[in-house]
Amino acid sequence: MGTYLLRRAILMIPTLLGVTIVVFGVMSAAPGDIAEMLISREGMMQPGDRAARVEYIRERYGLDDPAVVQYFRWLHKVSPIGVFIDDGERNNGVGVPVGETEKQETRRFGLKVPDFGESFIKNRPVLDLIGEALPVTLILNLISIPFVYGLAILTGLYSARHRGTALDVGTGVTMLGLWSIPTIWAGVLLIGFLANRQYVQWFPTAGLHSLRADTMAFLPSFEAGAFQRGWLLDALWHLTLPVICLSYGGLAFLSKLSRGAVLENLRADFVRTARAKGVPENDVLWHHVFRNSLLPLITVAAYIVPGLLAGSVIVETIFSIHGMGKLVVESIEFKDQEVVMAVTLISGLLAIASYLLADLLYAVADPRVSYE
Amino acid sequence: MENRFGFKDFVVVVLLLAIVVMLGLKMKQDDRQWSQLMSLHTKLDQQTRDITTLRRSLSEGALSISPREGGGGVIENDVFRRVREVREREDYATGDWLIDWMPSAPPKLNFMTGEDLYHRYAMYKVMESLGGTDFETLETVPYLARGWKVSPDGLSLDVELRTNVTFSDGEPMTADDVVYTWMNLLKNEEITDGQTRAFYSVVSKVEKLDSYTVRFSFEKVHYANVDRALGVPIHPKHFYKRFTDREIREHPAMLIGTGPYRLPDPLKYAPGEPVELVRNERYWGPPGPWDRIIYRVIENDSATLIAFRNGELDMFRATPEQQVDMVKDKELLRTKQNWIHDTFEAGYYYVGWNQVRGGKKTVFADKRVRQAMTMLIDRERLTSELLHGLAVVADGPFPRDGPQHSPSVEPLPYDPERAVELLLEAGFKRDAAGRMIQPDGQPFEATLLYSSGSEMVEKLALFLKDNLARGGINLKLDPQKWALMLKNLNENNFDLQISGWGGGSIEGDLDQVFHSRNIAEGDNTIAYSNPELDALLDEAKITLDEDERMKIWHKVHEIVHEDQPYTFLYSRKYLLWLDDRIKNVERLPVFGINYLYAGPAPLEWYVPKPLQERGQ
Repeated sequence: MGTYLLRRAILMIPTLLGVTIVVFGVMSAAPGDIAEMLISREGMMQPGDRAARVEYIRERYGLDDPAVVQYFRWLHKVSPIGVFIDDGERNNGVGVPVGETEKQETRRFGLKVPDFGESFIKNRPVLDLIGEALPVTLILNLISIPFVYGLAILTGLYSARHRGTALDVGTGVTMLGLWSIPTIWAGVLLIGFLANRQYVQWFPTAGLHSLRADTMAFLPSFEAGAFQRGWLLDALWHLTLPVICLSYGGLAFLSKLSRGAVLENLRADFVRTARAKGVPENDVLWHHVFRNSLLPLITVAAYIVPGLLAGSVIVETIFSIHGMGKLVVESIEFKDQEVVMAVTLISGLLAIASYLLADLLYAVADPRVSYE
Repeated sequence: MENRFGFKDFVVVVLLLAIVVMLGLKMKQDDRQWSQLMSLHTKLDQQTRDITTLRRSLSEGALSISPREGGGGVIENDVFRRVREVREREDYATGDWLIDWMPSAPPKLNFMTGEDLYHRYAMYKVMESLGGTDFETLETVPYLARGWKVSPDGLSLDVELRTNVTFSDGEPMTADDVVYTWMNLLKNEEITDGQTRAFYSVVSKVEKLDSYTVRFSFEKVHYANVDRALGVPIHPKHFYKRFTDREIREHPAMLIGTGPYRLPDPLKYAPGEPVELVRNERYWGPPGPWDRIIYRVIENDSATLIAFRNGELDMFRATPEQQVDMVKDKELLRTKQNWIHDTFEAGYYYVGWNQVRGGKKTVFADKRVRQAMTMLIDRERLTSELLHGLAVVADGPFPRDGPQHSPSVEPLPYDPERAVELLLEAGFKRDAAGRMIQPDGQPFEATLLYSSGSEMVEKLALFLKDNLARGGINLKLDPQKWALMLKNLNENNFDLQISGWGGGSIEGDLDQVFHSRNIAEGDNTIAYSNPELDALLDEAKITLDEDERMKIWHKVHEIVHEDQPYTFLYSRKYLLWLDDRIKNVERLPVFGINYLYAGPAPLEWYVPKPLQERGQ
């Protein structure tokens, strides 16, 4: 097991290198250069704006250099081993001195803090941007995933148990319907009907918190005779519609998947034996069939983790939530190199780690599987 | 007993997790309580300090109650002229919140590093500049300054500051702050981006003459020098000098100024969260009418409309499609007011005819051809049908009701017969099938370059194709992604293109787009060259007398109208919707409405006491 893990860890490096090279290559090859980064979001610029901005960005970020040079420069910035500037104020790393910069700061070679760079468009460190967007996406997804999985397993099990009945067929059709509804439409419909004074105003229209959220107490309470929502409930209330939008597609898919897995297992020999032994049906389902059906679900879960990072652009745009999805798509659209590369690296790392985790979980779930 | 992980264990694990989560939430709750306590603490501290200073001043007899004395009290024709009248009204009241929206979250809020349009909405409520613009007379009037004097050679400007101006933290504004704003912040390469620096590069130096007087030195004479020098918001030196250049550059907020509103914490802003401004209780001028101004970020068009309908937003700017539906909605009209207005901020859309391609003159180099093209396009129908009447035909780069517009210029009429006549005069022929044939024998065909991704521009392109077809011209459409289109524009690699220019200032300078020296490097992408126009543009720059200069602009307008380097299409109107309870909304020429989104101006709207909805 130990050598297996080590092997997988080492194999991570060429994979990541490959991914970053491909992404960087495609971005550099795409037509349109720095001009892409100059677009004010409203589209209409004033005469004379462009020239000054192009000069500035070119100079600052060295975008005149050939793509290969730029790639290796980025690689060097991001790697934990390399040359860094010891400017005395921040702890950038430890290493041996190898020279001096123009401002008389020492250059050192050694272990350094990876520098993910700055967004050209927003002029802020990439890590700051990711640090703001990631928690939002994580919360959205960490709430929807257990919800989706739980509901999917339950409905899948139930459908498989009562295969062929009206309920099973009905559930199947509903799931198919849910799977087919595009998120864009669903989101706008939800807002249009459930958050609209003209119909029913059960939910808020946008955002993650109410305007007065900061002044709210954390937990709900009864004050001055009226029910005060409190910060926690307010946040959950705002999260309801986005989570529904995010979950229903996954729910449909996983439900069908678990139904298939359970059906397969229900026909297996060991189940027949259990039944013959006199094990109650419930026990058969939960003690025997359930664990075996989890395997395909675990595999799928591995693919969901990178999805966590990407977030769902559509949901985030419709509900004006500023998460990773919006960040990534905006950066790609405006060719904001540093952000795209940083996200590629981080999501690549996470994807590989989650595949490894899935493989390990496989070994846990199925004792027949082992890595030696 | 088998040691299996059973259901009971699962329940235990879940309970444990729940306890951990609760603990985490409790810690979060404690944190919030702590920060609330701290802000209360700071507020109390500030108030104690204020009271102490007041007490001291009173005891020293230095404080007088009369508001008209002291340096910089009431200046008759300053930027507060209109607001003072409004405040005299019977139903005038302060209070209530104004909730506006932004379609995208500004990454940065401050003047130096904020690059998008929307950060200015909030920024200009918190910061003020030395001079402002009178909404009616369009003149530059004293704001933070008391007055100013331009030197006879036009190369320097002495500005006298008011002495009673304070920043929102109580510190007084002096000449040091003005100098610091320009020399240490604005001109600092490490902080301010190239575009802003280039815009203000006309000012070469700012120096302090005494505590309340500064001198601006200009590189060369230009009529916009004074406005540019007076238009920069003043930043507090004592606040910014605590931070390194890099910190100022990277921080998303850092918004603090002398204005009627302030960010509760100048260092706290997370892009995506609403920007909340509270009234600056220490404001040196007439207090702002609103208790709070809040900018929510809602990206989705339909969600914004729904939020407005629900009363979650007080202001809304509709798209033409939404406008058409909204005016039919009786429920909406009962509680909301609608103001459709022109404004210089809208800019204009145009068709640019490329005159030189690949080193050779194109068929559009002949001005008769360009005039014919304009007359082939039915602009009235364009604005009334495609834009539902929500735009006005443009006849030049200047707004219709502005001072630069020449009184003798009217848009060329839609006259396809006359257009064909002009083309025949210019050596074209019409063949039996109705196609227009160029003087060189080739059929008249051209490719229209435009930006993909906008439904509006797509419709415009098709409209153009149809119009030109009536003149026997075959127009091919080439939508491109913006970046590629820009590249082609820069390289003069197109036949004709549609795009728009935003309106930035009240008195626009056409140098960048029409002067021949800007063909290679600037925004004169159509290779237009008229020596007479060049000379006039150069002359206008250095004509400091306004009346003389307007005469020059009129001539410029007439030349551009005659030459038709662009076919000016339209300026869209702003479709403003407001909640009914907001009073004193007034129409004005050039500005359009008595509210300036992206510039410093006192707020004239208010809500009378009985109609106020939201508390402190």
